[in-house]
Amino acid sequence: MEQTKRQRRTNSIVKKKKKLEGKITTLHSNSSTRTFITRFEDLPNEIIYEIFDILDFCSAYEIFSNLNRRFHQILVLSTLSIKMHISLISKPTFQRHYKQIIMPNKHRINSLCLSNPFIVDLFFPSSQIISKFRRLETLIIDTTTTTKLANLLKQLTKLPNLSSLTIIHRHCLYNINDLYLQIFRLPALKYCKLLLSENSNYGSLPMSVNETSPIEHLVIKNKFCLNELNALLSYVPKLRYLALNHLYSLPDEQTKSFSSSLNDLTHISIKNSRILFNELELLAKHFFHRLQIFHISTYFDVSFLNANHWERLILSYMPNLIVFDFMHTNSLNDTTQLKYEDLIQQFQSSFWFERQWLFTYTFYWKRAERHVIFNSSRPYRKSYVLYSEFSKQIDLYQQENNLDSVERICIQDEQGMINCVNHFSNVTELTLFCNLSQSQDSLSTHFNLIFPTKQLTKLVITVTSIPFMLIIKALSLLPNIHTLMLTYESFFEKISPSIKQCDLFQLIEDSDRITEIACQLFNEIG
Amino acid sequence: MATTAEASNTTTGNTETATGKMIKIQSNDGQIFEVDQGVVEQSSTIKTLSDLMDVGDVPIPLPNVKASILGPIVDFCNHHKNDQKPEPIDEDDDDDPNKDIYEPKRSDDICEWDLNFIKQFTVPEGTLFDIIMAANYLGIKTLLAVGCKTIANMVRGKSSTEVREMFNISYDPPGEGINAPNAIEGQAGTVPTTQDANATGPSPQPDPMNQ
Repeated sequence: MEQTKRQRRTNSIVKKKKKLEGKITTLHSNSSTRTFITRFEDLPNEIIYEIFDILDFCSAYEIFSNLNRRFHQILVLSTLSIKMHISLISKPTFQRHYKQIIMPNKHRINSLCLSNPFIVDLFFPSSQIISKFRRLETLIIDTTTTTKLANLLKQLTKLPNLSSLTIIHRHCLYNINDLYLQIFRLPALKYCKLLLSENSNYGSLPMSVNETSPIEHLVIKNKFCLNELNALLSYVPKLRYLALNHLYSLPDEQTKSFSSSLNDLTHISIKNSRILFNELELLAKHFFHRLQIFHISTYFDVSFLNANHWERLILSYMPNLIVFDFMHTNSLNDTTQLKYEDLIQQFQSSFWFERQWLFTYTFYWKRAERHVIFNSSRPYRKSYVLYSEFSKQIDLYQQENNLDSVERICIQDEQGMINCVNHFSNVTELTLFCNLSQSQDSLSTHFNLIFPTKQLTKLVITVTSIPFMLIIKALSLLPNIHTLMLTYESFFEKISPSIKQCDLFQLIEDSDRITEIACQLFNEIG
Repeated sequence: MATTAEASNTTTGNTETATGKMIKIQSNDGQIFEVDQGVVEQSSTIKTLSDLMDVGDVPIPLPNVKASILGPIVDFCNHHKNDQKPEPIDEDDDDDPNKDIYEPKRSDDICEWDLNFIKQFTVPEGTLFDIIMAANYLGIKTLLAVGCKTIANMVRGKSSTEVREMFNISYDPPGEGINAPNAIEGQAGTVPTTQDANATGPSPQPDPMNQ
């Protein structure tokens, strides 16, 4: 038997070898006769497809579709599926694309991302149109009117292949449960991600009786009340991954018991949660028995800092846990009685060491208040915050080694940036929580010490009253930024004529590299 | 080519200490390059050939690549052989709302070294397309991506006419393809781009798609 197997394997290798030798001979004979200069048109279709894919379909169509028959066939007559992402685009250009490119190819579009609220309305002048996108598998909609969204969702049930749905909706929903119920009725949906308005009306979701959804991956990024969780989970029995970014409990309402069962749930991410440890325990008791990966970040309830509580919880309800990523943040005024050097000792028993779950803590200033952050050590961390500490109980400014996982640097205050001695080689994103008053040269030196400036592609600025020169300085030092986000209380100062005349401003103005801009509370730009 | 010799020397130096096994590859004009396992791993074609063919000290023939292209490719692979392998997407990183949005493939994320590397290849000489085709043949995904992104960057924002000129793209023969009158019918927005089979210049007619 073993011999036969070996013989079969040898025969297979000989066949492959002959095939490759044949390929080599053919190529050799072809190449020996080729003396001409290679042209774009000599590229095989597979490479042309790759280039068109990078360009996006509409651009490729406009440039190439009428050049000659070959490109026309690739773009117009092909049955290959199309991914379409529409964000920043003028109305006339969109209308031209819509008429000449999108609608004639609607049967080929399998992925559609409309990340501009105006475009959503133009794209679907009537909700019925979406049902004509029969091949659609992935749909991402960033904000439309509430009525339009409700009508669209009704039509989505007519799409037999829709397996991934992301909805970002910033308007108030009168009954958010209707939206959930409509989503749960989608027949092929496996992945759902929601970011809904916090002002929506959160009525009680009824428990599912016979209605279940095939959803396996559910992410809810808006606030979600713990009391509603049981009913929600009753609709998604096949859930494998659950992320709740703002899970909270009501102080005057006791969390009831859970009755749904989730036998496939292996990943949970609960971030920015405002629930109590005993409420988490209740959750764990019912849902965590197959859990392998658990991310949790919490505030305030210091019971979360009790190592024995965690040890008992994990041993009792999470026997399969592999990754435990924990972060707890608190204002120090509330925890002055806690001695963090004692707390961290509790997390250094054999239980924690055997599993390689290690922790650290740091004191820092935030908005003129003292805070403390207690969290898992680096391997799971993708973000790293630079801030000026007021206490050196742990030596943060020692160089750290395990920083390869860090993709985002947040500068909480300028001193934190100045004090930093680490270099983050894989960072691609920078978030500024403060103004940086350093000179251009000095800032350049600090940036280069902390991260490879050419690698950064995204800049987020969360500063009250953004000085325009900060944006200009940052963009000039980070040449490959393509996404700029200005968030929360940010607003621009009026751009003075002197700023407009400075070299840096001209440099940025002349480049057109920024392809994504996201602003909130955008007040004035001069 | 100077870079070829440098690449080979560099490779030899690393091989003895790091990987141990040297493999010889031969361009279609007979030049032999010695590469280590770190280079081999980046090329699915060379890796398959070296696994399946008991090459010993015999060079693996790469008849579709000339030395002037294979040399820089060895340089490229030597430069990238210690790069970190991309990790699988971490679905747990959900704290950034912007990560929700489907992002199309980018073409502005070519690192500086790669930008300088690709600059040595040009359209008029045809070497830019040679390196892309060689990367495709050799199965070097990272180099293929750099080449395709470079082309995408060159054409983005250009009109059909400009792209036709830039890449000297041919017209269909008269009476055939999209220039044939019967093929134009029913294709709103498309316009014949030539009236002469031998024409190579810009289309004499306006192109409404690019106005």
